[in-house]
Order: sequence, then structure tokens, then C-alpha cells
Amino acid sequence: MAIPTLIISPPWFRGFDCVFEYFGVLVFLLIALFAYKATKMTNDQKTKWLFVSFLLIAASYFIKAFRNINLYFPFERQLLIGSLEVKYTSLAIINLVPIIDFTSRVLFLLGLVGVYFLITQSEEKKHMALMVYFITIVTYVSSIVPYVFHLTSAILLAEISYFYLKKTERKRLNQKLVLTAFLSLMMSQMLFLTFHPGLYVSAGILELFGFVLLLFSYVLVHFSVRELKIKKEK
Amino acid sequence: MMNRRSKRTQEEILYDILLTILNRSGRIKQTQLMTKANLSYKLMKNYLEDLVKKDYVDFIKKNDRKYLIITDKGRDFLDNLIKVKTFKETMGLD
Repeated sequence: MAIPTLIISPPWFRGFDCVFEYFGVLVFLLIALFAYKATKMTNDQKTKWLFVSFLLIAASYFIKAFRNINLYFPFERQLLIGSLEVKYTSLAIINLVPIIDFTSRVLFLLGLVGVYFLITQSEEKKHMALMVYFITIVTYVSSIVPYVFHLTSAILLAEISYFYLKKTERKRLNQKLVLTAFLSLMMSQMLFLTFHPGLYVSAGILELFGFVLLLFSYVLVHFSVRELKIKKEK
Repeated sequence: MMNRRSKRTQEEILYDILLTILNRSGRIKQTQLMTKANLSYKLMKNYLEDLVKKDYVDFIKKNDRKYLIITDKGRDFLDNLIKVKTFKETMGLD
């Protein structure tokens, strides 16, 4: 079986990367849920699209982690259907890897494009359909030339970071954290595209760092109430 | 107070009204609210009707004078508005 070509992670790191990715799922879901709550409260279209974008990214990480876990820790189960005994192995997922990878990558890139449109406040939303088409093409090409996906992600994250930096002139602590998170995620994508086992570990750690920073900035939002009231009272 | 350079959104006006009341020890006269929150009489009336209906603010009478007060529900709503505002700033959406 061609498992080694599907797995870049060194043996000792297998499983850790899945935990990191599941942590990322939690962070993106948490932020998406808050964006949903904000949308319900204010009927704001921007928070609505942030909810959708972050949900897509969370789904992408979830699918990726699920794929890796099944490949890293294969198991076999026997099912008894009537008098028929069916053996099921988690390695059967190998046949689905191209579809799983395609889905996970499309979701990730769509999520990033959503964030890009939000941060640049682009009025060109009418081009969204065209973007979806290009993302599908890029993802298809990346199934033949895998680094294309990581390169596209890195470019999108670099653009997001650049426009975010330009936009947030006041640069409060939570804005600095989000900016560093985007930059960490961008760097991790650049390391992923080398497909080198050693650099894969560094990329995983950088990605985790990005998730932690995003979580931290989210937590700080909840302290903003006290901070703002105190400032007003002075 | 929100940035006055561009037209305020409904959410920003609500935020300004509630925060203004809260910063006056949770009690204010309508005329003061108009000045502090930079609202026309008509606009203020419309928003206050809505806020009273939702139980975020209430009227009380003291020494023959009518005051506006912020309710507990209003305080919770303001807390959430502040969080949403900070969240939008944090994510670069404002």
C-alpha cells in the first residue's frame, strides 16, 4: 500500500498533529459561533460571512485530522450482518483520500477567500462565483502537484495579513495577536509545501501557535466590557 | 462614543444611547441624552420606544421630573454590544 506517500509526518509526531488540528477546529468553531451570535444580535452581514468562512475552515481541519487519524492508527473491525461477516479496516479510507483531500482543501481555500473579502471589504462580491471556480481548479491541480495548495494558502494568508495590518492602525493587543496568528498560519503553510518530515513538525507547531493566539484574542474580547467601562468612568 | 465621521449604524446608535445612560449612573433626562448621544428628538423617540418595548430602558419619575434608566436586561445587552464591537475590531471587520 502507498501509505508512506500519503503521510509526511515523522512516526513520533503522528497523532500530535491530529490533536493540534482538532484544537484548531475548536478555536475556529468557537469564533464562528460568536460571529453567529453577533449576527443574530445585530443582523450584520460581515459577521455572517465571518461565521461561514470560519465554519468552512473548521470543517476543513476536521476532515484533515479525521483522514490522518485513520491512516496513522489503522484498525480492523468485524461486523456481523445476519449470517454475513464483514471485515472493515480503517485503511479502506486510502481509496477515499483523493476525495477527502480535495474536499478539505476546497473548504480551507474557500474559508480563506471569505476572510480575504471581509478584511479587504471588497465590493467585488459578484466575482465570488468566479473565485469558487478558480479555487476548485487550483485544488484539482493540487491533487497532481500537491504544493500548489499550500502555496495558494500561503499567498492568501499573506494578503490577509497585509490588509489586516493596513486596516488596524490602532493595533490593540488583540489585533496584534490576530495579525501574528495569520502570519504564523502563513509561515506554517510555507513549511508544509516543502513536504519535508522535519519541517512538517515545525509547521505543525507554528500552526498550533497560530490557533493559540486566535483563541487568546477571542478570550480578550470577553474582557473588553470591563476595560471599556473602566475607561469611560475615568 | 462611536466615530462621527460616517453615518452611524443602528447598532452604533443603540450602543451610544445605552452607554450614555450607564455613564450617567444609569439615569438621565431625555434632553441630556439627546445632547450626549448626539441624536435628534425624532430619532431618539423612535429608538427609545423600541428600547422600552424590549425592556432595555425604563422611565421613572423623581421630583416631578422624568428620567430614563437602564434596566438589568439593558446592561446585559450593552455588555454584549461591547463584546460584538470589540470582536469586529479584533477581526478587522469594522
